[in-house]
Amino acid sequence: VIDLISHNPRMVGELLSNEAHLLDIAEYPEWLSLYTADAEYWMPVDPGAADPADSLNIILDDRSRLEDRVAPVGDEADRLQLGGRPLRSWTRFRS
Amino acid sequence: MTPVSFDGRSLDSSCYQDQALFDLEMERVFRASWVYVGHETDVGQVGDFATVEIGTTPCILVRADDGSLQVLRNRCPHRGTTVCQVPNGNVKRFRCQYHGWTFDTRGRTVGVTFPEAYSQEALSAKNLMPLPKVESYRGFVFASFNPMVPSLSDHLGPAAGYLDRYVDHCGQRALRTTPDAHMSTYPGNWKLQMENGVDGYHANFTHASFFDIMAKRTGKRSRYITASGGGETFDLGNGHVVLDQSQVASSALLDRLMTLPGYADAQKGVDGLDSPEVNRLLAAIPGPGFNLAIYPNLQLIGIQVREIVPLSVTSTLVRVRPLLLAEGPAVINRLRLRYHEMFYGPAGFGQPDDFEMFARISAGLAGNCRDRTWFDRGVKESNPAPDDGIRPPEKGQLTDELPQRGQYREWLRRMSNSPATEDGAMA
Repeated sequence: VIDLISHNPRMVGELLSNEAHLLDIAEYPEWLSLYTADAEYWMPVDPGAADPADSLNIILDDRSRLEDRVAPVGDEADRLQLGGRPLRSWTRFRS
Repeated sequence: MTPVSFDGRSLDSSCYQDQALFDLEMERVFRASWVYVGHETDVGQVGDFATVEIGTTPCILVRADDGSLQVLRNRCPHRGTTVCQVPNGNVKRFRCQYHGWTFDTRGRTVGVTFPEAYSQEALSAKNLMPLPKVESYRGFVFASFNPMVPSLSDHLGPAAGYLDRYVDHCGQRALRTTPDAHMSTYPGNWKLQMENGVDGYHANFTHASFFDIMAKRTGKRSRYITASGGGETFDLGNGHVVLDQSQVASSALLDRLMTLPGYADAQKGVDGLDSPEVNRLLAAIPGPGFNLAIYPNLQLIGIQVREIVPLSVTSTLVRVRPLLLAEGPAVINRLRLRYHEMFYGPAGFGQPDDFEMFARISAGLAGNCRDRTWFDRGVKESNPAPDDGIRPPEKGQLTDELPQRGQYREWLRRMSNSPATEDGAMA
């Protein structure tokens, strides 16, 4: 990924922008398809964390946990409870 | 002050919104008694410190140069500036950046810029005001502003037995906290989280999506809460309460482990451990199976240490971190981290749902219509109110609101600064 960012930052920008769009329009199956079977989605508590496995993380998802996040759950009454809209902030990326 | 009451069954809802009452809580609930300030492993070495709070007052827990644990005010005695701005670290001295005064790890002023203009007397009483009471119980450190507070062991009472079970849930193996914590704030009063951590009634609805996901992943029924199907609540006195799900939830909690990466491999064996020990440590990952709330700001839930920090009358910070083996195979600690992350933290599958309910309560109470909030589930008709206003019925069913009643009896006792009267009115 680091190589991709330094060699083709535009391509990475387009990929991330597309990902954000798919989430905005709730196209979750297509969003999932952006991830490979061995994907790891990591958001550490400490930005300087060295190793995902030994750190306390906000998110450390494998592919099946990513699927959990967008799994259709609940019934119609539950869906009436979804009042909010997600707010996404997409600022910068760098190696 | 606004008259408020807890009558044994319901609470004046303004206690979640009233500024004057909140200020009184900081004095009578937080500064007058013991407050949890950290785990000894947070400050293991001389000079290790962590910034903490007593209610809304910023303090510093520090391992002093003589090895003692000190809790200092995070406030320069000169003009009031906070002297420490970071959550943790290791220091020899604290320094106020405003005029350069320095303080040692016992809070003594050791350097004053251009001191000639001060008399010895003028400086003698100026220091970081170490709190008069700091005691720990099995690694859990508590402090108080109040020099007359009863001993920590009197304060904990029978809750100490639950702390023991919590500390011993991995047999003889010592535990430590993670250096990092999940920190989240919600727009609501601090008492909402105190109630919720021992609420056996909410999970089926509030956490419906998590139960659905677990059922899908494990192929097993994941809801374990029923109207009367086991589990118990206890009022231990002094506001300390327990929600014990160990009988009813343990198999559902163990099923959740199956969704953790690395769990199946660990079941086959862990280097350096015999197989019964592997099984014991894996079975201990969900913790001892009860939720213990130590009044007013500590909850031990599963393997988690949760600190509840009031920020304002309608804003609260919650700091959670899992306990790990102090020494032991990384494989086990990784599973403990993943188990915690699954439900907790800003992107966990459970904690944000509770926060959403707290936000909705704050929204529902807007306008301060002096409504009542009810905690009467499971009140026994034969024993509608405690006769002496203090001793409650001690044991209830899992979904009873007995823990919340225990908390509010203590809240009322402290706020009244005298034993509650029979109808629960403020003295």
